[in-house]
Amino acid sequence: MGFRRRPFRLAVLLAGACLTAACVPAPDGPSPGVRSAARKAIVLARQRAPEKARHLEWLLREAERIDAAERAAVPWERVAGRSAAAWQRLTLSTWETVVNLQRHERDLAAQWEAARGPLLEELRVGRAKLRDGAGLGRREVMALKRAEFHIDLGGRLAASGDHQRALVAAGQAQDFLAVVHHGWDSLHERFQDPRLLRQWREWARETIAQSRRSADTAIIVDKLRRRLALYHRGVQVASFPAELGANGLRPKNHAGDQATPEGMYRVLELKEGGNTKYYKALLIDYPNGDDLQRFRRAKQRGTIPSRVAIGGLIEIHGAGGEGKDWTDGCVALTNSHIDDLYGHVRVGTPVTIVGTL
Amino acid sequence: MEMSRRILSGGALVLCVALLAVGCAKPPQQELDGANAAMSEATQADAQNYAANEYARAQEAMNQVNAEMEAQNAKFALIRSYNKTKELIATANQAAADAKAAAVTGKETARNESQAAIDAAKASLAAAQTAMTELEGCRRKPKGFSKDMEMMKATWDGYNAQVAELDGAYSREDYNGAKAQAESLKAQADTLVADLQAAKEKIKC
Repeated sequence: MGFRRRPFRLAVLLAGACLTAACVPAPDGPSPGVRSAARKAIVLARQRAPEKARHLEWLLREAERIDAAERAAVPWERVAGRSAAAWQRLTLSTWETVVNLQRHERDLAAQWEAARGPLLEELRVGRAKLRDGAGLGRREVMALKRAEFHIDLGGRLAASGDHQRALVAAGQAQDFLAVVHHGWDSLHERFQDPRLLRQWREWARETIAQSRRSADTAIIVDKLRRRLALYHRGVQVASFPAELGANGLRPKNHAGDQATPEGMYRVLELKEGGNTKYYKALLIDYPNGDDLQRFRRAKQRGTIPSRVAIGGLIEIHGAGGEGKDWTDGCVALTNSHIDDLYGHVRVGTPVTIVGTL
Repeated sequence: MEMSRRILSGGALVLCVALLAVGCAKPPQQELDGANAAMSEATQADAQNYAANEYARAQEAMNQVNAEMEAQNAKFALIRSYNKTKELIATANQAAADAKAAAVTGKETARNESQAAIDAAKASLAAAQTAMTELEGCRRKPKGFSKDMEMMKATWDGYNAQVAELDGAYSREDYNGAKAQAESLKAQADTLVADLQAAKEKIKC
């Protein structure tokens, strides 16, 4: 009898020992703060790196699933360390995501700082071009203002920590500044045109030669340089800074375009006192024959409105010194300079206005 | 002997069936559907954007519900227990409701702040337009006045062109983006107003 019970008891003890050895205790769950750290990382990553956020969400779900499965499983069916490994994967990925996001933010902040300086310089150049570009108009002004808006917006976004959007605003500002630069380049293209330069230099040579031949005075205005030069007997004797029409760098096409004409003219009338509101003035004979021909051709082509006139009353006058191009097409000098000029000219004095020499 | 064995077998069979019927816990499917519906409502209320932390907490709670449910479903029927699942569902329900409420409040606040900023920017632009009209009506017009006015108008047009962008951001419910743009636009427009006022004073309009 004892012999039959002992093997049975031994078998039960052995089975019990095996089961005990195979039993894995229930998992402890995640370390404190793992879930909240993962949650915060997910919230951060959602805006900046949605793929990372989705990956973390998946890891968190997996860790919860494995943890719950291990807790619910019978002790001898549990896998040792399976739950801990899942939480560990989540912890590592959370840490990685946060570090990468912080690094990314620092990179964006550095990119913004690197872009800001050159952008402000480009804005300064754009503003200077608008001031100097007598012929840049509404389109370029609007573009500059929109660039200023986006630069200001970028600064505000960067200050609030949103460097990604700040960089987008910086890109938009650059696009608008490009409109200003393009306008400037287009306006100045003609001053590098070899055909036009040849023509302007030919006019200047002829005017100087005429001054030499007649032993008299002549005036040459260089629009791009904003200079008026006085010649006597073919030699330059004086040079004055000049202010042009508000669109002075453009060729004159019609009345009201505020452009300063280019061509070979003569003084028609000398005005002073009550005859001019600009202190003293030299009326020139714009439009000349070339101007009239050009005007008619433009009307035929339809490149100027049919109802506009060719314009006139172009003068060299005083009341200048504004530091900008402001006239309706005339050439303005300071009162002191027009005084210097006035005494050396008469009706018939040649006045040649060129784009540049 | 044979009869008593049959009675015993029958009784044991009935006992087993009774145990199975009573012992098999049913998964709380209805409660789970309710929790999923609450999460759905929080998502539709845009909680990811306007109550990001609360939304993440609700998601976490749902993860735990799903994990516990799956774990219990995987067990032998007689030893399943959904008590903990039901507790977790109740927590998830509350978290989803909190997320939805926070999102509704957050979105409303963001919308109101954005609208206020847009209105202020438009008011500044309107003030600038009024100042331009007054300046144009001045008798004294200094040299280059027409060109300067043209530039001022182009400036105003440039700023006004931004209104379409910020209205667009508002329509897309990018309230924070619209607010930032509106604040920037107001600052630019206020500068323009100040310049116009200074010009008026300079020419003693």
